[in-house]
Amino acid sequence: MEQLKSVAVLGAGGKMGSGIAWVALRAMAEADARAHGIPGSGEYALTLIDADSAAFRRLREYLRGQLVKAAEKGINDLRLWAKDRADLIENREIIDAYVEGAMGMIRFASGASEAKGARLVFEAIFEDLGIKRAVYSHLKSVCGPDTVFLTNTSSIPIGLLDESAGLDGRILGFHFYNPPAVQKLVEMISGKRTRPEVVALGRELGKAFGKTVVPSNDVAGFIGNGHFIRELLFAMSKYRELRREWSEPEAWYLLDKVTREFLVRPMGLAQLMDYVGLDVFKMITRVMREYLADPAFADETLDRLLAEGIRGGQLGSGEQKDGVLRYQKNKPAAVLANAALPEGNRYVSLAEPGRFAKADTWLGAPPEGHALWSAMSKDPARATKLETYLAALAQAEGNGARLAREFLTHSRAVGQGLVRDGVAATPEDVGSVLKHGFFHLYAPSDWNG
Amino acid sequence: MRKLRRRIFIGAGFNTMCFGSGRKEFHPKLPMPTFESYLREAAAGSLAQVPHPDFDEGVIANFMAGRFLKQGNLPGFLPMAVPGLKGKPCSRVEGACGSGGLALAAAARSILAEMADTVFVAGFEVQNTLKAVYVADVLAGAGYFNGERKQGHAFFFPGAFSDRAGAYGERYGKDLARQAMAKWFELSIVNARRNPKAQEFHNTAADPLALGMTTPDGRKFVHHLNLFDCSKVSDGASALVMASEEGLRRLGLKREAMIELTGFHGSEGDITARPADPTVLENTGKAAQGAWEMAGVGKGDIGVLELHDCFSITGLLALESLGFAAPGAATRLVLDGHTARDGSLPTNLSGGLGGFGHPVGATGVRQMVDLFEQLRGLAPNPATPSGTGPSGKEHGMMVSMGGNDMTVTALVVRRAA
Repeated sequence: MEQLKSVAVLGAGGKMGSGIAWVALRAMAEADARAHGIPGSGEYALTLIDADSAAFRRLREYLRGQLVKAAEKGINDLRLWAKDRADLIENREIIDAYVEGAMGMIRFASGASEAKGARLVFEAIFEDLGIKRAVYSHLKSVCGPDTVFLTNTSSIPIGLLDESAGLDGRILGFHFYNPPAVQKLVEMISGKRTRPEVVALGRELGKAFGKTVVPSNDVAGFIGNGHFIRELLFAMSKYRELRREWSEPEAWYLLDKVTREFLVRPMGLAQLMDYVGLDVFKMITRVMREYLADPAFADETLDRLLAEGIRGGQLGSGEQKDGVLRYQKNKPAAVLANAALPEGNRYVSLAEPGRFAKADTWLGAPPEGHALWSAMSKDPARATKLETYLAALAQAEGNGARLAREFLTHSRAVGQGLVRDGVAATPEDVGSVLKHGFFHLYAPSDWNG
Repeated sequence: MRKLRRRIFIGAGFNTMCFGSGRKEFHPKLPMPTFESYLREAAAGSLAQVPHPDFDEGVIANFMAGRFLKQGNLPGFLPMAVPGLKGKPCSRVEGACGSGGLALAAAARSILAEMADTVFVAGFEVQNTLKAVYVADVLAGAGYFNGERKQGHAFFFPGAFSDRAGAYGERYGKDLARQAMAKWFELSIVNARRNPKAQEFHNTAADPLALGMTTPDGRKFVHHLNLFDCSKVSDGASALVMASEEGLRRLGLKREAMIELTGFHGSEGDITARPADPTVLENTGKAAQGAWEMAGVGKGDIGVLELHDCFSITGLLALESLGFAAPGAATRLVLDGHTARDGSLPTNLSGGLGGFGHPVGATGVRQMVDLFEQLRGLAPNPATPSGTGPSGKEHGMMVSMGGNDMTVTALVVRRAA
């Protein structure tokens, strides 16, 4: 793939940008090694750009660490590719040469102008139309006429970026999921004027990167956030409903438990909101409100929490920061009781004996056939088992089952809406995004209750 | 074949625990015991059985300390562990995975030559300083580096023995070979679970036989072996004492506490040449033949066996090359349970290299320590009936093999009287 020979990543110091840098570097190093035995032929160049040059050191270490791990794991391939290099005999020699060769492809830079020679420019900068517009206008003036731009935006319409910067259809939404090194899903979004050859290139890139590409139409939020943000807003309204009968920690506890256990998901929605970060949630909601012109994209509880300093998100190390849940070793250990209290008293331990017993009793147990996500996801017969479980859930008594049904019905309606509005081509595409991007084990359309 | 011109006794054997993945104590990110600590522990365990530790000579076996530990000049570590060896002749022997066997033979020769009456023998290896992919680089030095390494598999020896397993399956039936290799693995685990020092002592797999049946995946590993067919990366040390009759008196050891070496023989191959027949371990066969002739016994006299099963296929090939089974028939011998602890030929009751582990330079010495414990009733996993009991077969035998059937020493022993 010729375009992979010259790549730039804007915002490479950030969490998404560094992951995208790694995914690109791996594909480039492999391609170079296939052709030349060892990467570093000089044919491939990767320019990593970030305004904050202090991030480069950590980025370099991250990429080197990833390269070493990948080279060790792929030693059989490496030896095959390097078979004609008589000077490289031992695994250590081959791995070292591979890593050094690949690191030699990288150039670090602080200004967007440094992307000027790139055929592909991945952009993962701050999610703000004004900033992106300015950057793209600048890129257009420095890059060649063939350069293709791939934006990692999760919500800003691609057509708008194209138009506002005059990119003439050379931009494609290429939305990685967090973390890009691990997550298999890429949502690919074409704007109205995105050129067909650019779309084809996106598909080819997906293959080179080993990703599952799901096409989405250019409607703010696309498929992933189109579903996720609506579901989170629904969860917040459920939280307020629960608050009428329950204390704050009990309400968060119930919400998280029902969406994790009863829905057989890897995380409850309270934890997932913390994982994404409340500020990111807010930002995407704002973008969607603006471009969908829909005032429903707002939430009073979210605003209150942010005003009280509850943010979630992750540290650079990947460690989960406290949000509506408090974490120990990235696992929920306590739940928010009252953000107005001093730091030490804000949370109630989940381990406190009897503290959530009443809530548990009220919720009841999931119906027959239930298993937690951790067990169900490893079960080879999960498709049949989930079908049986969801059928049982449709009939089950109890508050937990009732709440779960409300979430499933809402999710199905959102999925149908995304297809109806033309954001997703088919219900299967919606299911694919939720399965690959959010690790759901079933699609919204699988719910028949 | 020449007979032994002096009696040679072996005893005071001690193995350290075999450390590596599988042991609960093992964590790749935590600091690990040093090689000095293994050597000290093995020596102390041996010396605790010797009333008057007074040695004429020391021999230490090791394969690649120069690369794993950046340490050479290993004879100098014998007086560290055994203070009485200070000022005495000490030497290091190296024959890859067969180093331990070479150490035993070297000690025996010193005694036969009347250069020594008491010899302290130790062996060790520490490999967990490196990740497996780099351990493979070091171990590949047991093959012909200039001639084989570049074309070889990333993990080298699994590749070499995969070729042997492939040829064996081709000739005698792939399914039968796979079943026998799986059974070999199962027995390794069953035995290791009865040996607290074994690397697989903590193994809790519900169905080892099923694991052993895993279809090899040439794309991820090698074509004819799965991971369960392979011994792991191991750390550990072993030590024992060898002495003449005069030496026993000086050490204050009684014959009843010892076993006696009745025959031993080495056979070396040309490391630059390929095996003539991949299904035959030529040097293993020659070494065993020589040892039997010297001992004046035959395969029917062997009550307990310690084979060098770096891979499950190696165990099968060794049984055939020693003549315990006709070519292609080791599969049945194993599948019918003859090599199990209650079988007619109890084999590798320590767990063998797959179950006990394979601290390369220690392994040959470790095998002899296990024979000593079996024949003296000290073994944690004794043969039933005892190899020296109702079966009347009072001899034990071990084969120490370096590289791809290259540096081989076979030794025959019996309970001393």
